[in-house]
Amino acid sequence: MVSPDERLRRPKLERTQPIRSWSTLFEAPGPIGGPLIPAVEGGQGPALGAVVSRSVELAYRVVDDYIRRGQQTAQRIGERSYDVQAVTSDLQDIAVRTFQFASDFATLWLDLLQRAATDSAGFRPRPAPGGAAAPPPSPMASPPAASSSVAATPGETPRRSPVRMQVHVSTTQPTEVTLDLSPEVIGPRLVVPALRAVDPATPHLTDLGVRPEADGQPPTLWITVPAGQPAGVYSGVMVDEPTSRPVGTVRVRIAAAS
Amino acid sequence: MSAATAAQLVPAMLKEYGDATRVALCEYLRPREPQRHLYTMVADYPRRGGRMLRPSLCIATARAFGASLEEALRPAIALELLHNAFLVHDDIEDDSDERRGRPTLHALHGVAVAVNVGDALTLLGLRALIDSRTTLGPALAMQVLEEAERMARETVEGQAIELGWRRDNATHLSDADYLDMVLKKTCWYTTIFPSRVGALIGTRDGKSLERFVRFGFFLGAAFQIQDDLLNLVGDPMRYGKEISGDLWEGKRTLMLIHLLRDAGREERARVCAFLSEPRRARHLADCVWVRERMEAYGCLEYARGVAHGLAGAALHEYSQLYAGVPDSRDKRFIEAVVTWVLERT
Repeated sequence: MVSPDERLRRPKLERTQPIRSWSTLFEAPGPIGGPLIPAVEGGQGPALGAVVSRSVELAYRVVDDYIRRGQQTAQRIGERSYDVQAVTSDLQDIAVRTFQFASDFATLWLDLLQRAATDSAGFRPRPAPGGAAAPPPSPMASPPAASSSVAATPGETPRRSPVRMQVHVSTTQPTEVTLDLSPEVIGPRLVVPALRAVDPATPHLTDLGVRPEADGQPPTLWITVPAGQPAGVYSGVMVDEPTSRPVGTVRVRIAAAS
Repeated sequence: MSAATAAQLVPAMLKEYGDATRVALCEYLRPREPQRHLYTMVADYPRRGGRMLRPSLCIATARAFGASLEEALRPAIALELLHNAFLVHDDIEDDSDERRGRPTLHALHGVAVAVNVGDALTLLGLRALIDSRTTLGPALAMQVLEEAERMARETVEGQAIELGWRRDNATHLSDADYLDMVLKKTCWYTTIFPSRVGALIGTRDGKSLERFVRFGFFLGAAFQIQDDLLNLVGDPMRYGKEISGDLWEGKRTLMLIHLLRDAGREERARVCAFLSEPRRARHLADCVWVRERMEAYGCLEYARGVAHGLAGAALHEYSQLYAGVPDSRDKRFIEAVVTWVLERT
């Protein structure tokens, strides 16, 4: 017979209710029986060392969760490269968002567009990470009749590889060019008849054309805006010459010179 | 690096880079029409001084990675202008009385005028970003502009969270909620953006900037907690804002969240009642009582501990980020800033 003193007894429970605290959200609490965060000797509250380590754990979780959310968002949006095409569309996109609340500063917006157009020849690839930086292009080195080269991609071609086309603009006024191209019918010989404004009295934009693809370079839409061309929107179609089929539209917005 | 060296290096470099930024900033603050109704007031906050931590951190990071002062200067100016724009609007939103030792802009000129001045400062900041293309080239300037847009968006989101807490009288907040809010509201424009843009300019590599979020977050959160502590215990002459202004405003600081978590039922109810009042209806005696309860519950010590922990984490991240970067005064400055944020008064 086992005496009462020899019987195995269940140890007294160290706690009788769940621990609910941020410090136990992500890992097991400290030794059972001790406080979640040890109290300061002879006083209230947690010991400094425990506060430090717990806060760092928590902060890492907060920032890692934040970064993870950012990565998920970035994955959804898709990898954005800062090649010429992306820069052109992003510049306009961000500037539009930023300026929505300040129409009074419209001249600044036009200036930005102008600079984007006149500087785009300075786009350059970035060196490899950690590599030496390429020297910046000389600012505003272009003559009054500035020349630019930007490439454009059609907007509505999510499942197709983008058609590349350079745009070369000679202008003394802030000018924005928008292309909407149909990728499957782009042929080697393209023509663009004169671009017209809505007002029939406005002179057409006639000095333009398309240079075909050569030396690995994509076809180039070149446009010369005559000095004093009235401000406004000019539009027209790009045509595949052999078949006479329209393959896209060209829209040129010209602002008054400041 | 010894604490004494750090204590000398940080103020010296803040002055050096701060002065360079201020001089270049004058170009954007020059008098013009409508001078009396706008540009005199636009120049008010930037001319009141300030530590210039943000532009200095941006310049030092860029230089540590090999860029020149000139290359980093326009983004640094933009940052300072945007910072001042945020301050003008923050002061309105918080109904603050003092900024850098003087009455707030809206207290001097009214809310409508101050809102407009804040808008103008934002646009001047944008102007400086656009101007950066002359030194950085359009592609890199575009990336900096992208960063600025993200920074501004994160900041207003963080501000929205905090204002929402106050409007809804949120009293069940956790430390994680607080850190999440601070990450957006403070860290992005105080430390993450300057570090990321500095690194972007220095390396011309936009693909590895995510690493700077951790460093900037730990540094910025430690900075904010210390700032909140100074609001309770700081020297009014050096702090520049009204002491205990955060209590008057019902700002959800780490100390207040700690008090709401640890206080007994009756005391907690009294704190909640105090917070539910509009600022102008709060009484000095209640404010003093809340401050005293914070002391009694060890809230200030707790927050100091968290700030030290975050600063330690920032130093750890610094050692990872800058391991392969050649030693320089700028690199040492960035390291020293981490301890400086805790030691400033």
